[in-house]
Amino acid sequence: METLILTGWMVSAALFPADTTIELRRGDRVVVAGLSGELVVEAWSRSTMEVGGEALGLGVSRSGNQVRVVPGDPKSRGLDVEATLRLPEWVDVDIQGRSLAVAVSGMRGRVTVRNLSGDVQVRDVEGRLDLFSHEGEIEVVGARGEVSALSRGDRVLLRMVTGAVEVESGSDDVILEGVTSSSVRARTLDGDLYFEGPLLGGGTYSFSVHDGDAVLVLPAGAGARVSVDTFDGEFTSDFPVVLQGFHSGGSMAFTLGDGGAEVSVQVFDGEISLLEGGRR
Amino acid sequence: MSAMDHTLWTDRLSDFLDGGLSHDHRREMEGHLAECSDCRAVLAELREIRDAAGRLESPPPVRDLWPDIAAVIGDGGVGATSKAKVIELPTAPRRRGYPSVRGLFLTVPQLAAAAVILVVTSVALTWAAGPGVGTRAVGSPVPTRDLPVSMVAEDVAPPADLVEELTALESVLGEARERLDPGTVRILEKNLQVIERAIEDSKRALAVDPGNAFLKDHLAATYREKADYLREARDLMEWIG
Repeated sequence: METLILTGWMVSAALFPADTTIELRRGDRVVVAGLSGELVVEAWSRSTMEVGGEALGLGVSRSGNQVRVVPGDPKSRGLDVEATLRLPEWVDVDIQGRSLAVAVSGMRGRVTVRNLSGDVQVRDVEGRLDLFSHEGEIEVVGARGEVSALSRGDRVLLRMVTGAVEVESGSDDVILEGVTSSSVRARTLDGDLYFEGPLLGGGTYSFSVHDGDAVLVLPAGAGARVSVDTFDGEFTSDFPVVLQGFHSGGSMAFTLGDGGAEVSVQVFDGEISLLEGGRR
Repeated sequence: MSAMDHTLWTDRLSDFLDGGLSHDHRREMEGHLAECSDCRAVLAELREIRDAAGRLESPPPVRDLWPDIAAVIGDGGVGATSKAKVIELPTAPRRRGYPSVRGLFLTVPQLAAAAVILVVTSVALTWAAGPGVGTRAVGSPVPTRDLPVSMVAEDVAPPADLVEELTALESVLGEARERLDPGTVRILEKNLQVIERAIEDSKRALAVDPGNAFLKDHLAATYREKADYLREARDLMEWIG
């Protein structure tokens, strides 16, 4: 396999065939754009990028510190690819696709994914994640770092994540399992919301559901000042609740344990449950 | 399948009947029902009970409970947040599995206790739509979407800082229909409908409880979500249109 070392502007917009290996430098950003089909991004220990798989007609170009992977041959535009990208773990990667299923694993740099449809799966990463899909499911398992994940039309699932979390689904469930974070914002308009994880002292946790249930599974002895709001909802708690404020309509506030964290649960129409982990 | 494993299915039947299962769990249940005649029979019984319950009349509250509650809290006023007194609430019996369900919650053991079937619930606290309404029987909520259009509150405009932008963004979908393929337009419109429905729900709720701060915030947040969404649709046209 040929190895190419691209140097700055001299090779700007030059296209190279797939199954090409390209040297990357720290500070580089790899941009994948205009693809449909399936894309696998894997970290490896080398400092090069390899474009492989059935990536017919893909081209690679460098402009400054940006390395672009795009459909290179006009004949290949609109065709589905099954491409694999192997990257040094430290590089930032930015993926935009129309109907593109994306699987990313092992990266330590910033990962950005934006697609119209196609599921997005991320595994074992460190570094900021920005994930957006109009129609696809987003699933993150094993992540350290800030996570922003938004799917307008499908489910968002985060499991074993450590770091600030901001997640939203437009019309499906939001599931947060094993999330350790001092900042959680989760919202769905039409689906259920599930959170399981510790409440860290000084942390803020905000959960909002329009039409669906909110289930929070908290460890025994969890400490938080909790506010609960609903219009047409019900509230269930495994924890003893002592009201400290009862507002008009369906709003109330109470404290759990040492009250160290701040929790807000807002459900327009649905059930709110505070469950104690390990009891079921 | 062991009896315990099978209980996992039967415990979910009322969730299934109420439409309370997630998409994946619903699919799993449909697959199981296709193969399990026992569960189909239990589901049929649950459906009969639910239908029978729906035909019963809900008696009105004997009296309005809010004045007593307000008196215990302290100042008795609407919106009171007095810290002078506290009310201890009982913990609720635990429910297995997630997500939990809305509406009438029935399990197979409860089905056996048909005499109390209409009051079973694990709910510890249930709200009505606002102070002065009194308590409402658990399991007989008034769906917001059933409220007549004439009850929609008038003061439900978008937040002032969004009015102009929303008006401008409204044209995005029209533009999208011309520039994007039908499949993409369908996705955009479907997702927008969910937001529009949430806005309408909130408006109707404010008609019922116009002073409710949560509802006002909720409506404003949903308008902001609509603006976000239309911006996303605009951006989408730029990078795939």
